[in-house]
Amino acid sequence: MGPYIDGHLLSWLIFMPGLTVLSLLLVNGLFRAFFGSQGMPGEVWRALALSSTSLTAALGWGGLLGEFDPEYLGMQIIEHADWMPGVGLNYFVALDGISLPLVLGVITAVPLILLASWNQVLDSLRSFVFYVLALETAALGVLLSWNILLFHIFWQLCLVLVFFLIGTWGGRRSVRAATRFLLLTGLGSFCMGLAILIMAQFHVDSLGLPNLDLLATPWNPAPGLLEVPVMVPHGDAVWWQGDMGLFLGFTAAFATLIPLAPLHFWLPAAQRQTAGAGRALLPILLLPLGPYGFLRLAFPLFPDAAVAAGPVIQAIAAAGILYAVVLAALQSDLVRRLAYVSVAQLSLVVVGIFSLTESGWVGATVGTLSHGLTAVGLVLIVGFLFDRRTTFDIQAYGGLARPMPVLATLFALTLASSMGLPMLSGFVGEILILSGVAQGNPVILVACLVGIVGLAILLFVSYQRVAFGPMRVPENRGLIDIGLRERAVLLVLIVPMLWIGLYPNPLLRRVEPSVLEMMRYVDERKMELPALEIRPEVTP
Amino acid sequence: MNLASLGSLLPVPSLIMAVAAVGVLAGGVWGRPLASPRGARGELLLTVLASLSTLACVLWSVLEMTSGVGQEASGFFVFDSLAAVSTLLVGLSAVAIFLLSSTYLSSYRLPQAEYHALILFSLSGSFLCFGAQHLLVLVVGLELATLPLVILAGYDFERRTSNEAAQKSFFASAVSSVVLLFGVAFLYGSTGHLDFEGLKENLDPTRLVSAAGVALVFVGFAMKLGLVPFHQWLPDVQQGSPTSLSVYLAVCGVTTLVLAWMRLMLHGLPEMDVLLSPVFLTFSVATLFFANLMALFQRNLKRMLAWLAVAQLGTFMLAFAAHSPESYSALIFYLGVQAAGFVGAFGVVMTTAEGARERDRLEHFAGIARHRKILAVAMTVFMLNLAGIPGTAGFWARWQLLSASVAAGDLGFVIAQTLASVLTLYVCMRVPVVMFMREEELEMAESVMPSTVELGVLLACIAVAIGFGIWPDPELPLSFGGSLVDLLRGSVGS
Repeated sequence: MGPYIDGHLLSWLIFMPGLTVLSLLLVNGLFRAFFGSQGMPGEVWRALALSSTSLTAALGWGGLLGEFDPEYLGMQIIEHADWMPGVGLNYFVALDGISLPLVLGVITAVPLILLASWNQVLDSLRSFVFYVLALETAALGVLLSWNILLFHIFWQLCLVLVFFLIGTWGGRRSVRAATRFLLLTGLGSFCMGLAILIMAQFHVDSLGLPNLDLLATPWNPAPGLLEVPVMVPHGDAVWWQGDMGLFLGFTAAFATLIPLAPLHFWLPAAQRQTAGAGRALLPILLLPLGPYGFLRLAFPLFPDAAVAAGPVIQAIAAAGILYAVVLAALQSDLVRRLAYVSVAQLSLVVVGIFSLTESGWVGATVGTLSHGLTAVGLVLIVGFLFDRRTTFDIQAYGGLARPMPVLATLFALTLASSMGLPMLSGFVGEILILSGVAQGNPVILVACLVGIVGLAILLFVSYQRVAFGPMRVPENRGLIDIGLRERAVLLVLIVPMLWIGLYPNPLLRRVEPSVLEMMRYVDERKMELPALEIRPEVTP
Repeated sequence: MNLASLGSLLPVPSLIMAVAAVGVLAGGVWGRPLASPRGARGELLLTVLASLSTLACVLWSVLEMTSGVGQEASGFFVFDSLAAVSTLLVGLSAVAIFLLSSTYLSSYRLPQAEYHALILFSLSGSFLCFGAQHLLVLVVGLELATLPLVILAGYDFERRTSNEAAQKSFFASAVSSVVLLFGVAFLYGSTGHLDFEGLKENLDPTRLVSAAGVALVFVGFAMKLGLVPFHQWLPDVQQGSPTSLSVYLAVCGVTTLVLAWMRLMLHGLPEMDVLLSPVFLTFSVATLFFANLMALFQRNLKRMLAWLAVAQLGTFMLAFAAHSPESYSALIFYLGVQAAGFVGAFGVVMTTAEGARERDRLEHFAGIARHRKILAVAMTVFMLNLAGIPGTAGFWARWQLLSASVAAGDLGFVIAQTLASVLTLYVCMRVPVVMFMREEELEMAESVMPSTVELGVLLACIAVAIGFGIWPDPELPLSFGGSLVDLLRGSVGS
């Protein structure tokens, strides 16, 4: 690694896509101003974006795997700069074992999605490229922030960008889907913002200066949020005015994004209405932020509240798995079916998180990554089918294994990983989560098992309807199999699935120390109070 | 008599504005007729004259602030730090509005001399009440500030809606002034004093007459501002007036009233703030939810922006309820950020106005992003600023104000404000949706290209909205408030 990257690796990763898009805008503007032309065509934008994101991916894989120390407990590759210490905001980014797999997933998926969209005819390709690159910056910012206000800022930017991504192409229904998305996630996000504001105020009251960094650093030696005592309601404060209220504020934001039933209803419409390969951005850039938020922020900051609310949320998530599987079975639209599958899989991840066991948390991290990869693969495959037949209806397909054997094979592999077949990545996540859940309530365990089996059956049946059986529809007879570009995209996605499934040790070895570290904060900050009582509010 | 004490004896910015107004009027009378090419240049000259004189006032206030303000009050008027900051805010907004209005008015073929003169008179009144130390000075300043706007509401006299706006504005202004003066009379009756010093010492809040006086004064202000439930006149006036006046009402009008009320609270009625807190909180919640809901149902962009301005008033009331130096300084910062946002948003509406047809319905902006990307992007930035999305100054303004409210203990109302903000977000996002995500329905003529001046003002507003959102100087929002905190504390004289 050259010296100019040393010490700023994470900032390069986060901002390279953003800087690319800004320079594209600048050059475009210069072209328009001085040459009077329309600026660079969208295809050029896409090509430049592809090279830039591939560079980011290479930088990430090389740099992060080179510099990341698997044995080190805690955050690494830290960067810190004062931004607005008066309000507690600092540019504080760091990497640890929990964010490492998700970051690698994001930087790998974006160039693949751009490559997959090569043949798309979109009205304003430049806008699409803009949103994809900006969204990559925002998502990486969320994953790498260790200052909660910075986290919040990147989070809201993600939401606004996804709003435009969903709604810009597709007419009235996509606008409705986008608005529904923004309202729901915006409400959660504003609740999180309010919780952060209250935390800052508590900090000022007790320590004099707001400090929203999670941990102390050499640049900001004041104790971070994870190192000061938890704020609890004192005196006659109402139960929601202490850490439970703050925890619920954070949960509101994360639960809408996971998405946790019953707040999941925006996802099928949003995924269906997003045009082209933008659909595949949601499972890898947006949805993983929810479980990550729980692991990074909600649990370590408010352990008592999390433990108290745990059984309720776990039950809701477990019910959500079953509910999503049933709803998925009722969908005839392939994209909507995949959206409900995502809901089910990420609800399982949430169950794993709230089991509050080490294997549950490691399983949750691996499961989120695995879900990201498989969901992207499945959505892209369905997209390839759409490119040929312009329909997502499952009835329109059948017997595709004959004209399109390569697609059917890769589809089968991706599907198998999604349903958790051993030797593929989904299995690793699932088995770890289940072993964590098994240490808790048996009812939840049974619900998860039923859900997993149901999901497997559902995915099997879907595959059979699409790839096997007689060729019901004559148009499918002449379909051309996927070309080199599409094969490359799917293979690059399948390789990690096989790798994690067959030899998960490199990944687990890096995730585990950070999980142990986060759980250490959870244990240290738990005050083992009796269950929070609801006291009647005393008016002053 | 040196220059330093001059500022305390005479309301200098007010006088500058009055002289400039007379000068602009004279220039209009003796200048060339409108239709000739010399006339067009003359109009531009008048705009420049108006802007320069406003900038002179701003410069004066900056000089006074940096040279150490004279605290000698004459009993009627003092140009202290609060007055200086208020003059700065309103003056800069007015300059931006002058620049935007000039193109707008000439496209309507409306005479600009009288327009600019009336605005300058209004500014004269605003600057007068910013430094008021006497209730009558405050009232005179407010009247001088609001009456010209009544006339200007009907400036586009060929349009029926403009006439209607003038009538409604007149009634609202008259009734609110009567209520205000009634309250002033009660205060005089109960304390025997009209100056703020005397009021502070002699006001006994437990007496019914005093309480009635304060209540009536506040209701008078609320009616002028358009707080719920005194809002009925506002949307029609905003929609009917020429857009250059709508923006002046939403920005300078509101800022003047809020700052005048702040002056009264800080200097004249300091003990009343604890008693009035519940009142402010009630108004805040009512305004927040009602105005946001009404904005939701609007099809006309000017009306929608007017309702959003009223909704922001609900947030301002939280600052008054918290009545701490931090909340007041956060409010001033918020006012500045709001000014930039609304000047920009109305500026985009003004830019697309064409000839004699006002294009202010949402449908007129459908699909504008295809060919006028700069306007669509600018409008999106201003809407995000209004909604308080991070990356814009509006986020930090809301953050500061809500922090101050939380510190003062109004947590429940802060939660209400957060819920209302989601409504604001939805309303604000409708505009980019229409601009980016719908097909172009009406043909956009080639003339709808922002002129250089308009573009400059829009870019300046974008720079404020985004610059204060990401300014690397860590202390700026707080130091702006911090130094203001000291100044406010000093000027309160406690």
